[in-house]
Order: sequence, then C-alpha cells, then structure tokens
Amino acid sequence: MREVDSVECTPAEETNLAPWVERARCGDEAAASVLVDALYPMVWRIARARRPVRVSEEDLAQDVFKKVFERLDQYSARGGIPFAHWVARIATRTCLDALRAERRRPELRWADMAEGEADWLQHICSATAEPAQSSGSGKAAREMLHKLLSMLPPKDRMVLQMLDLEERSVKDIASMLGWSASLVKVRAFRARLRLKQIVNKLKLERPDELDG
Amino acid sequence: MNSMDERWNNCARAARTAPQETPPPVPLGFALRAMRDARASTENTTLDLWAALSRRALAFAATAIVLAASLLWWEESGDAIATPALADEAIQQVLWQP
Repeated sequence: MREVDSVECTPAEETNLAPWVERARCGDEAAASVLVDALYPMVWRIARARRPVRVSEEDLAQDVFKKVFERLDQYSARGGIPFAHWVARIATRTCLDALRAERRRPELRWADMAEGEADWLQHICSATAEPAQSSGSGKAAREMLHKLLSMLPPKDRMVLQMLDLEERSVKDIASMLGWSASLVKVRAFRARLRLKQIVNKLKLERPDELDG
Repeated sequence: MNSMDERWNNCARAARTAPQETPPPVPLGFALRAMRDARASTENTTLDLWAALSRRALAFAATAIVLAASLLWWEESGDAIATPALADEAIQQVLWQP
C-alpha cells in the first residue's frame, strides 16, 4: 500500500485535466484553481511524508504549486508523462531541497518519544517482541520512523522513505528524483548502514533497558 | 533472534498499515496566491536578466570611454609611439649572428 500517491489521478481524470492545464498556461486563474483543487491532496501527502520537521505542509505545498505554475510552459503531455506525475516529481524535489536547506538535522532522544513510539524504537534497537498491533500502533510506528529517518542526510532519508515506507519501485524512485537505478540502490545500501550506526548509538544511550 | 533489517521491516509494515491522514481543504485563495507568486517570480527573473545585461553594457561603455580618452591624451602629448622602432631593434637582435 502506498502512503503517498493513492490520490494520483486516474487516466480519465488526467484527460480531464488537460484542457485546464492549457488554460492555466494562458494565465487563467479559474483553471489554476481547478488544477490546485485536483492535485492539492496528493501534494499535501507528499509534503507531509517527506517534509523537514520544522516546515509546514502548507508552506511546502505553496512552494510546489508556485514552481508548477512557473514551469507550466515546460510541461508537455506529448512527452508521455501524466500531469499528476509531473507535479509529484516537482513536489518530491521541492521536499528534497527543503531537507537540504535545513541547517541542522534534529536530534533524536529517547525522552522525546511518545510511549508507543518508544516501544517501536526499542523493538528496532533490541530483539524485544514486536509491539502489539492496536489502533494507534501503526501511527506510532510511522511517527517513530519519521523521527529516525530525519536524522539521516536528505538524500538517504528520501530513498528509505520511498523504498520502505511507500513501497515504491527503484525505477519509480529513479524517475522521481532524476537519478539512475544503480544510484538509488547504492544510496539505499549506504542509508541502511548509516541507519544501523544511528540505532547502535541509540542502543548505547540505554544499554540496561535494552539488554533485558 | 531476528536481525535489525527484519525488525525495521516489521516497523515499516506497521507504519504502512496506519490509517492515512486526511488532507485539509485547500486554503482560501491558495491557487491565486501560488499563481501570482509564480508570475511575480518570472517577472523578477526577466527584470534580473535585463539588469545584468544593462550592468554589463555600462561596464563595457565605461571601459571604452577610458580607453578612448587615454589614447587621445597619448596622441596629444606629442610622443610618437615607439613600437616600430622597438620592433626593428628586436628583429635585428634575433637576426644578429657573430
């Protein structure tokens, strides 16, 4: 199940968007509103999943749509790329730029974790049993993973987010980020190594609790 | 004992099963703002381009004026340009053989 683009337009909707794209290109503000209404949920979800901790989804979405309208002349439906996919690509790269612009990556401390999140972190750090599945357990896992991933360098974070949390294919990620497939694989490998280092560091902060 | 990769995958699987958050409605005037920002940004880029071109043209014109003025001053000062004489001397030095 993909967390992010489940709202991407169907081919029929995509065809319906085409005239609005043409009109927005000529400066029609009503057409721009139609495009924003159709694509805002997708852009919001991408921003939500991949944004830096201190930037709001709405600010990122605003930035994404600004870039979309700036570059509307460069979009060509004949290139075979659906409009929604083109927008998703701009959104992903905008999030990556925002992550790069972060001056300092946030620190992760055990004390900052909510109860359910700490259980999941403990599960990753040591061989404790998987926390029981409850209504809030999935959300806690997601929040904890976002906090853990935010400690990685931006590109590493983006790759693991898209590969493991959104279950995207390597080809898809390569297309979204403008990288080669082999670069995606190499970066994912390195990101996993870095993640292990972070987890080992977290283990050292709480050796007593994790041994038991 | 399961590996860290396996435990990571357990956690990622649980995260994927969490219910999706519903996006809020599009804020009022959002599209209009985005489009106007885009337009302003494009206009700024065009203005920046013209400003850069104007600056370069101004710098070129200033250099040309300074060069023309110095050449004029040189000619009016009455000193003949010594270049031909220097060139003759150089040729003689090169061709000279004991």
